[in-house]
Amino acid sequence: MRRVSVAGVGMTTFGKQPERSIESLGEEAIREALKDAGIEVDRIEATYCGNAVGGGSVGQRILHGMGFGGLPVVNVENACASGSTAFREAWLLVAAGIYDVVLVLGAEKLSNRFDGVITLDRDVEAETEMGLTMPASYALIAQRHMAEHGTTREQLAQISVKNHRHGCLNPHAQYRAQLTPDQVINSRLIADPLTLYQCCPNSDGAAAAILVAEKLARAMRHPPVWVLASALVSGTSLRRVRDMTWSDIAARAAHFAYTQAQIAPSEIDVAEVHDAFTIGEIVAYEALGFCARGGGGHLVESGETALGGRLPVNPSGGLLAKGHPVGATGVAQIAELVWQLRGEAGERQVRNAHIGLAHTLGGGVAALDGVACAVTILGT
Amino acid sequence: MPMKNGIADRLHVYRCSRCGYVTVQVPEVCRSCGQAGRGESIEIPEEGTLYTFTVVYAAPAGVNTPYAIGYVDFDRAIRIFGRIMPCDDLKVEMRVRLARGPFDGKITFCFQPSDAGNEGS
Repeated sequence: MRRVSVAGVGMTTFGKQPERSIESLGEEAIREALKDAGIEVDRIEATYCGNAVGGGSVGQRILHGMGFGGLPVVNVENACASGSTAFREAWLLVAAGIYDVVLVLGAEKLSNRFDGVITLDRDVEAETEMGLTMPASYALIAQRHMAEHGTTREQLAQISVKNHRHGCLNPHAQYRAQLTPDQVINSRLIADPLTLYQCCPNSDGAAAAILVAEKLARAMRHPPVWVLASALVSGTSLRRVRDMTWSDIAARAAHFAYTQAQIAPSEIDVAEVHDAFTIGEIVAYEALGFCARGGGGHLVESGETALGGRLPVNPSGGLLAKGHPVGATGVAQIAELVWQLRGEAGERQVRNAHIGLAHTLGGGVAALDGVACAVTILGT
Repeated sequence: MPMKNGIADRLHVYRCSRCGYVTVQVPEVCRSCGQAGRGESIEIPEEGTLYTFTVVYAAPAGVNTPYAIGYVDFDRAIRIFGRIMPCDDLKVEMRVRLARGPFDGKITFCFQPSDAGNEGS
Protein backbone atom coordinates (compact mmCIF):
# COMPACT_ATOMS: atom_id res chain seq x y z
CA MET A 1 0.00 0.00 0.00
CA ARG A 2 1.24 3.49 -0.84
CA ARG A 3 1.09 6.39 1.57
CA VAL A 4 -1.66 8.87 0.79
CA SER A 5 -1.84 12.55 1.68
CA VAL A 6 -4.83 14.86 1.99
CA ALA A 7 -3.45 17.63 -0.22
CA GLY A 8 -6.38 20.00 -0.17
CA VAL A 9 -9.70 20.52 1.60
CA GLY A 10 -12.62 22.89 1.29
CA MET A 11 -16.13 23.33 2.57
CA THR A 12 -19.10 25.63 2.35
CA THR A 13 -20.66 27.22 5.37
CA PHE A 14 -23.14 24.76 6.87
CA GLY A 15 -26.70 25.83 7.60
CA LYS A 16 -30.14 26.21 6.14
CA GLN A 17 -29.51 27.45 2.61
CA PRO A 18 -32.76 26.68 0.78
CA GLU A 19 -31.96 29.15 -1.99
CA ARG A 20 -28.79 27.29 -3.01
CA SER A 21 -28.71 24.14 -5.14
CA ILE A 22 -26.69 21.08 -4.20
CA GLU A 23 -24.70 21.70 -7.40
CA SER A 24 -23.74 25.17 -6.24
CA LEU A 25 -22.77 23.94 -2.77
CA GLY A 26 -20.71 21.09 -4.21
CA GLU A 27 -18.92 23.30 -6.70
CA GLU A 28 -17.92 25.77 -4.01
CA ALA A 29 -16.39 23.02 -1.87
CA ILE A 30 -14.54 21.49 -4.83
CA ARG A 31 -13.11 24.83 -5.97
CA GLU A 32 -11.89 25.54 -2.43
CA ALA A 33 -10.23 22.14 -2.18
CA LEU A 34 -8.54 22.48 -5.58
CA LYS A 35 -7.25 25.93 -4.67
CA ASP A 36 -6.05 24.62 -1.33
CA ALA A 37 -4.14 21.79 -3.02
CA GLY A 38 -2.86 24.14 -5.71
CA ILE A 39 -4.02 21.98 -8.63
CA GLU A 40 -6.41 22.34 -11.54
CA VAL A 41 -9.57 20.30 -11.94
CA ASP A 42 -8.06 18.34 -14.87
CA ARG A 43 -5.63 16.61 -12.49
CA ILE A 44 -8.50 14.64 -10.91
CA GLU A 45 -8.63 11.01 -12.05
CA ALA A 46 -11.77 9.88 -10.19
CA THR A 47 -14.41 11.19 -7.82
CA TYR A 48 -16.12 9.59 -4.81
CA CYS A 49 -19.21 11.45 -3.66
CA GLY A 50 -21.03 10.93 -0.37
CA ASN A 51 -24.71 11.79 -0.27
CA ALA A 52 -27.59 10.24 1.64
CA VAL A 53 -30.92 11.66 0.48
CA GLY A 54 -30.18 13.64 -2.68
CA GLY A 55 -31.94 11.26 -5.03
CA GLY A 56 -28.94 9.82 -6.83
CA SER A 57 -26.06 10.77 -9.12
CA VAL A 58 -25.18 13.81 -7.03
CA GLY A 59 -21.49 13.55 -7.96
CA GLN A 60 -22.20 13.68 -11.69
CA ARG A 61 -24.70 16.50 -11.27
CA ILE A 62 -22.18 18.64 -9.41
CA LEU A 63 -19.25 17.91 -11.76
CA HIS A 64 -21.44 18.43 -14.83
CA GLY A 65 -22.41 21.81 -13.44
CA MET A 66 -18.71 22.69 -13.42
CA GLY A 67 -18.36 21.63 -17.04
CA PHE A 68 -16.33 18.64 -16.02
CA GLY A 69 -17.41 15.14 -16.97
CA GLY A 70 -16.24 11.82 -18.32
CA LEU A 71 -14.17 10.47 -15.43
CA PRO A 72 -15.17 7.69 -13.05
CA VAL A 73 -17.66 8.98 -10.51
CA VAL A 74 -18.91 6.77 -7.70
CA ASN A 75 -21.82 7.88 -5.52
CA VAL A 76 -21.69 6.50 -2.02
CA GLU A 77 -24.56 6.13 0.47
CA ASN A 78 -23.87 4.96 4.02
CA ALA A 79 -26.30 7.15 5.99
CA CYS A 80 -24.44 9.72 8.13
CA ALA A 81 -21.15 8.00 7.29
CA SER A 82 -21.62 8.49 3.51
CA GLY A 83 -18.86 11.12 3.25
CA SER A 84 -16.48 9.10 5.43
CA THR A 85 -17.13 6.03 3.34
CA ALA A 86 -16.44 8.00 0.14
CA PHE A 87 -13.16 9.14 1.72
CA ARG A 88 -12.22 5.58 2.58
CA GLU A 89 -12.98 4.28 -0.93
CA ALA A 90 -10.87 7.05 -2.46
CA TRP A 91 -8.03 6.38 -0.03
CA LEU A 92 -8.09 2.65 -0.85
CA LEU A 93 -7.71 3.30 -4.57
CA VAL A 94 -4.86 5.77 -4.19
CA ALA A 95 -3.15 3.55 -1.63
CA ALA A 96 -3.55 0.57 -3.95
CA GLY A 97 -1.86 2.43 -6.78
CA ILE A 98 -4.88 2.65 -9.07
CA TYR A 99 -5.10 6.46 -9.08
CA ASP A 100 -2.72 9.25 -8.03
CA VAL A 101 -5.24 12.08 -7.55
CA VAL A 102 -8.81 11.51 -6.37
CA LEU A 103 -11.52 13.96 -5.37
CA VAL A 104 -13.67 13.14 -2.34
CA LEU A 105 -16.90 15.05 -2.18
CA GLY A 106 -19.72 15.14 0.34
CA ALA A 107 -22.85 17.15 -0.34
CA GLU A 108 -26.36 17.30 1.10
CA LYS A 109 -29.45 19.46 1.08
CA LEU A 110 -31.73 18.67 4.00
CA SER A 111 -33.60 21.95 4.46
CA ASN A 112 -36.13 21.04 1.80
CA ARG A 113 -36.32 17.35 2.81
CA PHE A 114 -37.04 17.16 6.53
CA ASP A 115 -38.96 19.28 8.97
CA GLY A 116 -38.40 18.13 12.53
CA VAL A 117 -37.27 14.68 13.61
CA ILE A 118 -35.86 12.20 11.15
CA THR A 119 -37.68 8.92 11.46
CA LEU A 120 -36.27 5.54 10.61
CA ASP A 121 -38.75 4.76 7.89
CA ARG A 122 -36.80 2.82 5.30
CA ASP A 123 -38.91 -0.28 4.99
CA VAL A 124 -41.11 -0.61 7.99
CA GLU A 125 -39.33 -2.21 10.90
CA ALA A 126 -41.13 -3.33 14.04
CA GLU A 127 -39.33 -0.71 16.16
CA THR A 128 -40.28 2.08 13.77
CA GLU A 129 -43.92 1.05 13.77
CA MET A 130 -43.87 1.31 17.54
CA GLY A 131 -42.49 4.85 17.46
CA LEU A 132 -38.70 4.70 17.35
CA THR A 133 -37.21 7.90 15.92
CA MET A 134 -33.58 8.85 15.37
CA PRO A 135 -33.31 10.98 18.55
CA ALA A 136 -35.17 8.28 20.50
CA SER A 137 -32.60 5.66 19.50
CA TYR A 138 -29.92 7.81 21.17
CA ALA A 139 -32.17 8.66 24.13
CA LEU A 140 -32.50 4.93 24.88
CA ILE A 141 -28.72 4.75 25.18
CA ALA A 142 -28.66 7.90 27.33
CA GLN A 143 -31.22 6.61 29.84
CA ARG A 144 -29.30 3.40 30.38
CA HIS A 145 -26.00 5.29 30.58
CA MET A 146 -27.48 7.50 33.29
CA ALA A 147 -28.82 4.55 35.26
CA GLU A 148 -25.78 2.34 34.91
CA HIS A 149 -22.86 4.79 34.93
CA GLY A 150 -24.35 7.72 36.83
CA THR A 151 -24.12 10.07 33.87
CA THR A 152 -26.11 13.22 34.59
CA ARG A 153 -28.29 15.56 32.56
CA GLU A 154 -25.74 18.27 33.32
CA GLN A 155 -22.93 16.18 31.81
CA LEU A 156 -25.01 15.55 28.70
CA ALA A 157 -25.67 19.28 28.45
CA GLN A 158 -21.93 20.00 28.80
CA ILE A 159 -21.32 18.34 25.43
CA SER A 160 -23.68 20.80 23.75
CA VAL A 161 -22.32 23.78 25.69
CA LYS A 162 -18.73 22.89 24.76
CA ASN A 163 -19.46 22.28 21.08
CA HIS A 164 -21.50 25.47 20.72
CA ARG A 165 -18.65 27.39 22.37
CA HIS A 166 -16.28 25.89 19.79
CA GLY A 167 -18.75 26.63 16.99
CA CYS A 168 -18.60 30.33 17.86
CA LEU A 169 -14.98 30.23 16.65
CA ASN A 170 -15.75 28.51 13.34
CA PRO A 171 -16.84 30.72 10.44
CA HIS A 172 -18.29 27.65 8.66
CA ALA A 173 -20.60 26.73 11.57
CA GLN A 174 -24.39 26.84 11.37
CA TYR A 175 -24.79 28.04 14.97
CA ARG A 176 -22.38 30.59 16.38
CA ALA A 177 -24.01 31.30 19.72
CA GLN A 178 -23.00 30.27 23.21
CA LEU A 179 -25.44 28.23 25.26
CA THR A 180 -25.59 27.82 29.03
CA PRO A 181 -26.19 24.41 30.62
CA ASP A 182 -29.60 25.67 31.80
CA GLN A 183 -30.56 26.73 28.29
CA VAL A 184 -29.66 23.26 27.01
CA ILE A 185 -31.44 21.38 29.80
CA ASN A 186 -34.53 23.60 29.64
CA SER A 187 -34.93 23.57 25.89
CA ARG A 188 -37.86 21.58 24.49
CA LEU A 189 -37.83 17.84 25.23
CA ILE A 190 -37.41 15.73 22.08
CA ALA A 191 -36.87 12.26 23.56
CA ASP A 192 -36.14 12.25 27.27
CA PRO A 193 -33.41 13.04 28.38
CA LEU A 194 -32.47 14.63 25.06
CA THR A 195 -33.66 18.21 24.60
CA LEU A 196 -33.67 20.27 21.42
CA TYR A 197 -30.20 21.74 21.95
CA GLN A 198 -28.80 18.23 22.36
CA CYS A 199 -29.88 17.28 18.84
CA CYS A 200 -27.97 18.34 15.73
CA PRO A 201 -29.80 20.44 13.16
CA ASN A 202 -30.79 19.49 9.62
CA SER A 203 -28.33 21.37 7.40
CA ASP A 204 -27.31 22.10 3.83
CA GLY A 205 -23.66 22.08 2.85
CA ALA A 206 -20.79 20.44 1.05
CA ALA A 207 -17.16 19.55 1.74
CA ALA A 208 -14.36 18.26 -0.47
CA ALA A 209 -10.90 16.77 -0.14
CA ILE A 210 -8.16 15.97 -2.64
CA LEU A 211 -6.21 12.78 -1.97
CA VAL A 212 -2.83 12.31 -3.64
CA ALA A 213 -0.24 9.56 -3.75
CA GLU A 214 2.98 10.00 -1.79
CA LYS A 215 5.03 10.67 -4.92
CA LEU A 216 2.97 13.83 -5.54
CA ALA A 217 2.39 14.83 -1.94
CA ARG A 218 5.42 17.07 -1.47
CA ALA A 219 4.79 18.96 -4.71
CA MET A 220 1.47 20.30 -3.42
CA ARG A 221 0.87 23.74 -1.95
CA HIS A 222 0.91 22.52 1.67
CA PRO A 223 3.07 19.99 3.52
CA PRO A 224 1.47 16.51 3.48
CA VAL A 225 -1.17 15.41 5.97
CA TRP A 226 -0.93 11.63 5.84
CA VAL A 227 -3.79 9.17 6.12
CA LEU A 228 -2.45 6.94 8.90
CA ALA A 229 -5.57 4.77 9.04
CA SER A 230 -9.04 4.48 7.57
CA ALA A 231 -11.36 1.87 9.03
CA LEU A 232 -14.96 1.06 8.26
CA VAL A 233 -17.33 -1.46 9.86
CA SER A 234 -21.06 -2.05 9.84
CA GLY A 235 -23.34 -2.64 12.80
CA THR A 236 -24.71 -5.67 14.60
CA SER A 237 -28.16 -6.48 15.91
CA LEU A 238 -29.71 -4.73 18.91
CA ARG A 239 -32.40 -7.41 19.18
CA ARG A 240 -30.53 -9.32 21.83
CA VAL A 241 -29.30 -8.87 25.35
CA ARG A 242 -26.22 -6.64 25.13
CA ASP A 243 -24.72 -3.58 26.79
CA MET A 244 -26.27 -0.72 24.85
CA THR A 245 -24.13 1.87 26.64
CA TRP A 246 -21.09 0.46 24.87
CA SER A 247 -20.70 1.57 21.24
CA ASP A 248 -19.48 -1.75 19.94
CA ILE A 249 -19.54 -0.59 16.33
CA ALA A 250 -17.24 2.36 17.14
CA ALA A 251 -14.96 0.25 19.31
CA ARG A 252 -14.48 -2.23 16.47
CA ALA A 253 -13.74 0.53 13.94
CA ALA A 254 -11.35 2.21 16.39
CA HIS A 255 -9.51 -1.04 17.01
CA PHE A 256 -8.87 -1.48 13.28
CA ALA A 257 -7.77 2.14 12.94
CA TYR A 258 -5.39 2.16 15.91
CA THR A 259 -3.87 -1.13 14.77
CA GLN A 260 -3.42 0.16 11.24
CA ALA A 261 -1.86 3.45 12.37
CA GLN A 262 0.12 1.71 15.12
CA ILE A 263 -0.75 4.36 17.63
CA ALA A 264 -2.54 4.42 20.98
CA PRO A 265 -5.59 6.52 21.90
CA SER A 266 -3.35 8.58 24.21
CA GLU A 267 -1.42 9.81 21.18
CA ILE A 268 -4.42 11.55 19.62
CA ASP A 269 -4.08 15.35 19.81
CA VAL A 270 -7.46 16.38 18.40
CA ALA A 271 -10.64 14.54 17.42
CA GLU A 272 -13.83 15.18 15.49
CA VAL A 273 -16.51 12.75 16.66
CA HIS A 274 -20.09 12.08 15.70
CA ASP A 275 -22.12 14.18 18.16
CA ALA A 276 -25.44 13.99 16.32
CA PHE A 277 -26.87 13.82 19.86
CA THR A 278 -24.96 14.67 23.05
CA ILE A 279 -24.88 11.08 24.34
CA GLY A 280 -23.24 10.07 21.05
CA GLU A 281 -20.09 12.01 21.94
CA ILE A 282 -20.00 10.51 25.44
CA VAL A 283 -20.19 6.91 24.24
CA ALA A 284 -17.69 7.74 21.48
CA TYR A 285 -15.14 8.88 24.12
CA GLU A 286 -15.38 5.44 25.70
CA ALA A 287 -15.33 3.39 22.50
CA LEU A 288 -12.39 5.38 21.10
CA GLY A 289 -10.41 4.78 24.28
CA PHE A 290 -10.31 8.40 25.43
CA CYS A 291 -11.55 7.30 28.86
CA ALA A 292 -12.62 4.15 30.68
CA ARG A 293 -15.92 2.42 29.97
CA GLY A 294 -18.71 4.43 31.59
CA GLY A 295 -16.46 7.44 32.14
CA GLY A 296 -17.62 9.64 29.26
CA GLY A 297 -19.74 11.92 31.41
CA HIS A 298 -16.85 12.60 33.77
CA LEU A 299 -14.51 13.26 30.85
CA VAL A 300 -16.59 16.10 29.44
CA GLU A 301 -17.12 17.49 32.93
CA SER A 302 -13.35 17.57 33.50
CA GLY A 303 -12.92 20.03 30.63
CA GLU A 304 -10.22 17.87 29.05
CA THR A 305 -12.14 17.60 25.78
CA ALA A 306 -12.68 21.37 25.44
CA LEU A 307 -10.30 23.65 23.55
CA GLY A 308 -7.35 24.19 25.87
CA GLY A 309 -7.79 20.73 27.40
CA ARG A 310 -5.70 17.59 27.03
CA LEU A 311 -7.65 16.22 24.05
CA PRO A 312 -9.97 18.75 22.40
CA VAL A 313 -12.95 17.01 20.79
CA ASN A 314 -15.01 18.70 18.09
CA PRO A 315 -13.10 22.00 17.91
CA SER A 316 -15.17 22.69 14.77
CA GLY A 317 -18.35 22.77 16.86
CA GLY A 318 -19.22 19.22 15.87
CA LEU A 319 -22.50 18.26 14.30
CA LEU A 320 -24.36 20.04 17.10
CA ALA A 321 -23.07 23.54 16.28
CA LYS A 322 -21.37 23.26 12.90
CA GLY A 323 -24.41 21.47 11.45
CA HIS A 324 -25.03 18.07 9.90
CA PRO A 325 -25.58 17.97 6.15
CA VAL A 326 -25.50 14.19 6.34
CA GLY A 327 -23.42 13.23 3.30
CA ALA A 328 -21.00 16.14 3.77
CA THR A 329 -20.31 15.57 7.46
CA GLY A 330 -17.54 12.97 7.21
CA VAL A 331 -15.62 15.01 4.64
CA ALA A 332 -16.01 18.17 6.74
CA GLN A 333 -14.53 16.30 9.72
CA ILE A 334 -11.49 15.53 7.54
CA ALA A 335 -11.26 19.19 6.50
CA GLU A 336 -11.25 20.30 10.14
CA LEU A 337 -8.51 17.82 11.04
CA VAL A 338 -6.39 18.95 8.09
CA TRP A 339 -6.69 22.60 9.15
CA GLN A 340 -5.87 21.66 12.74
CA LEU A 341 -2.84 19.58 11.79
CA ARG A 342 -1.52 22.32 9.50
CA GLY A 343 -2.01 24.95 12.20
CA GLU A 344 -4.55 26.85 10.09
CA ALA A 345 -7.58 26.60 12.39
CA GLY A 346 -7.44 30.20 13.57
CA GLU A 347 -9.13 30.98 16.88
CA ARG A 348 -10.06 27.33 17.44
CA GLN A 349 -6.54 26.01 16.81
CA VAL A 350 -5.46 23.11 19.02
CA ARG A 351 -1.86 23.68 20.03
CA ASN A 352 0.78 21.22 18.84
CA ALA A 353 -1.69 19.03 17.00
CA HIS A 354 0.15 16.30 15.07
CA ILE A 355 -2.32 13.41 15.08
CA GLY A 356 -6.06 13.75 14.57
CA LEU A 357 -8.93 11.27 14.61
CA ALA A 358 -12.34 11.44 12.96
CA HIS A 359 -15.27 9.20 13.97
CA THR A 360 -18.50 9.09 11.97
CA LEU A 361 -21.47 6.91 12.82
CA GLY A 362 -24.29 6.33 10.38
CA GLY A 363 -27.63 5.13 11.70
CA GLY A 364 -31.06 4.49 10.33
CA VAL A 365 -31.75 0.77 10.58
CA ALA A 366 -33.64 0.30 13.83
CA ALA A 367 -32.46 -3.25 14.51
CA LEU A 368 -28.76 -2.34 14.27
CA ASP A 369 -26.40 -0.42 16.55
CA GLY A 370 -25.36 1.50 13.46
CA VAL A 371 -25.35 1.27 9.69
CA ALA A 372 -21.69 2.13 9.34
CA CYS A 373 -18.92 3.50 11.50
CA ALA A 374 -15.78 5.04 10.05
CA VAL A 375 -12.67 5.95 12.03
CA THR A 376 -9.94 7.86 10.23
CA ILE A 377 -6.57 8.88 11.64
CA LEU A 378 -4.49 11.63 10.04
CA GLY A 379 -0.98 12.73 10.95
CA THR A 380 1.71 15.16 9.85
CA MET B 1 -56.63 -11.85 17.07
CA PRO B 2 -54.81 -11.73 13.72
CA MET B 3 -51.16 -12.71 13.62
CA LYS B 4 -48.91 -9.66 13.63
CA ASN B 5 -45.19 -9.86 14.11
CA GLY B 6 -45.63 -13.40 15.30
CA ILE B 7 -48.04 -12.47 18.03
CA ALA B 8 -51.33 -14.26 18.59
CA ASP B 9 -52.96 -14.47 22.01
CA ARG B 10 -49.68 -14.82 23.80
CA LEU B 11 -46.32 -13.30 22.96
CA HIS B 12 -44.11 -15.87 21.32
CA VAL B 13 -40.59 -15.27 20.20
CA TYR B 14 -38.19 -17.29 18.12
CA ARG B 15 -34.80 -18.25 19.47
CA CYS B 16 -32.00 -19.30 17.13
CA SER B 17 -30.91 -22.87 17.70
CA ARG B 18 -27.27 -21.95 17.14
CA CYS B 19 -26.59 -18.54 18.75
CA GLY B 20 -29.65 -17.91 20.90
CA TYR B 21 -30.63 -14.70 19.10
CA VAL B 22 -34.26 -13.88 19.72
CA THR B 23 -36.80 -12.17 17.49
CA VAL B 24 -40.54 -11.54 17.69
CA GLN B 25 -40.86 -11.68 13.92
CA VAL B 26 -41.04 -15.11 12.33
CA PRO B 27 -37.52 -15.47 10.92
CA GLU B 28 -36.50 -17.23 7.74
CA VAL B 29 -32.91 -17.05 8.83
CA CYS B 30 -31.19 -15.92 12.01
CA ARG B 31 -30.36 -12.23 11.64
CA SER B 32 -27.45 -12.61 13.98
CA CYS B 33 -25.54 -15.69 12.82
CA GLY B 34 -27.14 -16.64 9.51
CA GLN B 35 -28.46 -20.00 10.71
CA ALA B 36 -31.32 -21.18 8.49
CA GLY B 37 -34.75 -21.84 9.93
CA ARG B 38 -36.96 -20.11 12.43
CA GLY B 39 -35.47 -21.72 15.50
CA GLU B 40 -37.34 -22.58 18.64
CA SER B 41 -40.66 -20.92 19.39
CA ILE B 42 -40.88 -19.92 23.03
CA GLU B 43 -43.40 -18.02 25.09
CA ILE B 44 -41.88 -15.15 26.97
CA PRO B 45 -42.16 -15.09 30.74
CA GLU B 46 -44.94 -13.01 32.24
CA GLU B 47 -42.70 -10.44 33.78
CA GLY B 48 -39.57 -8.74 32.60
CA THR B 49 -37.19 -5.89 33.46
CA LEU B 50 -37.12 -2.52 31.73
CA TYR B 51 -33.56 -2.38 30.34
CA THR B 52 -33.95 1.17 29.05
CA PHE B 53 -36.67 3.51 27.81
CA THR B 54 -37.35 7.00 26.55
CA VAL B 55 -40.41 9.20 26.50
CA VAL B 56 -40.80 10.62 23.01
CA TYR B 57 -42.13 14.17 22.66
CA ALA B 58 -41.26 14.86 19.01
CA ALA B 59 -42.72 12.29 16.63
CA PRO B 60 -43.73 12.10 13.00
CA ALA B 61 -46.98 13.83 12.08
CA GLY B 62 -50.07 11.90 13.09
CA VAL B 63 -48.50 10.08 16.05
CA ASN B 64 -49.85 11.14 19.45
CA THR B 65 -47.22 12.27 21.95
CA PRO B 66 -45.87 11.80 24.48
CA TYR B 67 -45.36 8.07 24.41
CA ALA B 68 -42.76 5.75 25.88
CA ILE B 69 -40.75 3.06 24.14
CA GLY B 70 -38.11 0.79 25.54
CA TYR B 71 -36.35 -2.53 25.65
CA VAL B 72 -37.53 -5.18 28.10
CA ASP B 73 -35.35 -8.09 29.17
CA PHE B 74 -36.76 -11.47 30.13
CA ASP B 75 -34.67 -13.91 32.14
CA ARG B 76 -31.58 -11.95 31.02
CA ALA B 77 -31.81 -13.88 27.75
CA ILE B 78 -34.51 -12.26 25.65
CA ARG B 79 -34.79 -8.55 24.81
CA ILE B 80 -37.94 -7.16 23.23
CA PHE B 81 -38.65 -3.64 22.03
CA GLY B 82 -42.08 -2.16 22.62
CA ARG B 83 -44.28 0.62 23.87
CA ILE B 84 -44.38 1.18 27.62
CA MET B 85 -47.74 2.37 28.96
CA PRO B 86 -48.40 4.60 30.75
CA CYS B 87 -45.33 6.74 30.20
CA ASP B 88 -45.11 8.39 33.64
CA ASP B 89 -42.68 7.49 36.41
CA LEU B 90 -40.72 4.93 34.43
CA LYS B 91 -37.39 3.76 35.76
CA VAL B 92 -34.62 1.64 34.34
CA GLU B 93 -34.69 -1.86 35.89
CA MET B 94 -38.34 -1.63 36.96
CA ARG B 95 -40.46 -4.77 36.57
CA VAL B 96 -42.93 -4.70 33.70
CA ARG B 97 -45.45 -7.13 32.26
CA LEU B 98 -47.02 -7.70 28.89
CA ALA B 99 -50.41 -6.17 28.08
CA ARG B 100 -52.47 -6.99 25.01
CA GLY B 101 -53.78 -4.46 22.52
CA PRO B 102 -54.74 -3.23 20.10
CA PHE B 103 -53.79 0.18 21.42
CA ASP B 104 -52.88 3.04 19.11
CA GLY B 105 -52.93 2.17 15.42
CA LYS B 106 -50.55 -0.70 14.74
CA ILE B 107 -49.55 -1.26 18.36
CA THR B 108 -50.68 -4.77 19.28
CA PHE B 109 -48.95 -5.16 22.63
CA CYS B 110 -47.18 -3.08 25.22
CA PHE B 111 -45.48 -3.36 28.57
CA GLN B 112 -46.85 -1.95 31.80
CA PRO B 113 -45.16 -1.41 35.14
CA SER B 114 -45.99 -4.48 37.25
CA ASP B 115 -47.20 -2.41 40.19
CA ALA B 116 -49.70 -0.47 38.04
CA GLY B 117 -52.55 -2.02 36.09
CA ASN B 118 -51.73 -5.66 36.70
CA GLU B 119 -54.92 -6.61 34.93
CA GLY B 120 -53.62 -5.65 31.50
CA SER B 121 -56.11 -3.92 29.26
